[in-house]
Amino acid sequence: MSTAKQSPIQKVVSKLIAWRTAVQSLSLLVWLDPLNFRMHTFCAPVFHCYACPLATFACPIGVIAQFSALHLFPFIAIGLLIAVGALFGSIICGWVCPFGLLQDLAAKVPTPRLKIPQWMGYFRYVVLLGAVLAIPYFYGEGHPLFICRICPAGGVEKALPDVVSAALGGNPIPWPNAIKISIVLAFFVAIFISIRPWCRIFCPLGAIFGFLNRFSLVTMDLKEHQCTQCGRCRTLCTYGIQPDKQPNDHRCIRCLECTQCGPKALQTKLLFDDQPQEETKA
Amino acid sequence: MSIKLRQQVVIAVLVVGLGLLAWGAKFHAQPVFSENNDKGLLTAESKLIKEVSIGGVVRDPYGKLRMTYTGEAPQSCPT
Repeated sequence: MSTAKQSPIQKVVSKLIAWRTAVQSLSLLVWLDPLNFRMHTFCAPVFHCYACPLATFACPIGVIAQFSALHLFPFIAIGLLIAVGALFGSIICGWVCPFGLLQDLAAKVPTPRLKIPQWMGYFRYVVLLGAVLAIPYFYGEGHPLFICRICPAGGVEKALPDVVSAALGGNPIPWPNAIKISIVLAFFVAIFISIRPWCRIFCPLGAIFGFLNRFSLVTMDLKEHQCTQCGRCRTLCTYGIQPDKQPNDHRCIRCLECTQCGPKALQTKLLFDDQPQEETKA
Repeated sequence: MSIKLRQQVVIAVLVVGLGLLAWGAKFHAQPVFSENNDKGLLTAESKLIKEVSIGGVVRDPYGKLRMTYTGEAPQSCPT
């Protein structure tokens, strides 16, 4: 069987891929504010609630929604997401997002998993346009469907720690409202019966990065002449995507597992790295 | 879509993103009013990001941005 010569970036990916969880965990050192920098004048390009006592940066989605409610254009948040998306696409989701890590860890628990239909990936755009942009703009931040009011990150990263710390300290428990409790409970159930349900159905940040997958500097490339149609990449993809058909699918979180197929027909590369790839006999 | 066109689109998107980011960080500011300041204090976008993350700014019925507190800032957002 012949295999395609690996691009320089793919060589790095091939070595790192077994360590993806470690990379995600290490990135927590940036997002969880171990040095108490509390730099909330700037957004991080990941989904991490700024109300969390361990948040280094502001949440870009929360900032966009709050600015929309104030009828202001969030230049920094939008600019950051477009620039990061144009560089990396959804690699951010697969490799450094803390909320993705939480769901990936839950996915390691051996429970039966429900398949999420592909079309549900479009619902992320509904959340982005509705709960992040339109509802805040027209109804303000008091609306019950304002993104921060229905976001599980706020419940998991702020409300839950508050409840636990108050209970442990013997203080009155600051119960969140019934909707927030329901969302957090539903989230915890969902991450154990499906794989990355928030990312695949609801995440507005993933919608932005996923949309930019087709226009990112780091891109997925299918060497069609190397592909043997074995379907291995589809087996490796736990998100139900067909990488051999759409390597830069907007629903892909770029875990890059599909690049481990036998013929190495799928590769990560830089868009400007278009030098001819030589073949090697394996 | 050809690789050439994709490369051009990526460069254009990247320039737009970096341009927005630079503009927001360097030049974008809004007047924010408070009890102590009726003339409006020009506030940089980065400072506004911090304020909105704690529910520190609202738009009042007259369309002006107004601080919701005086003195010590709230600890977290109202949601």
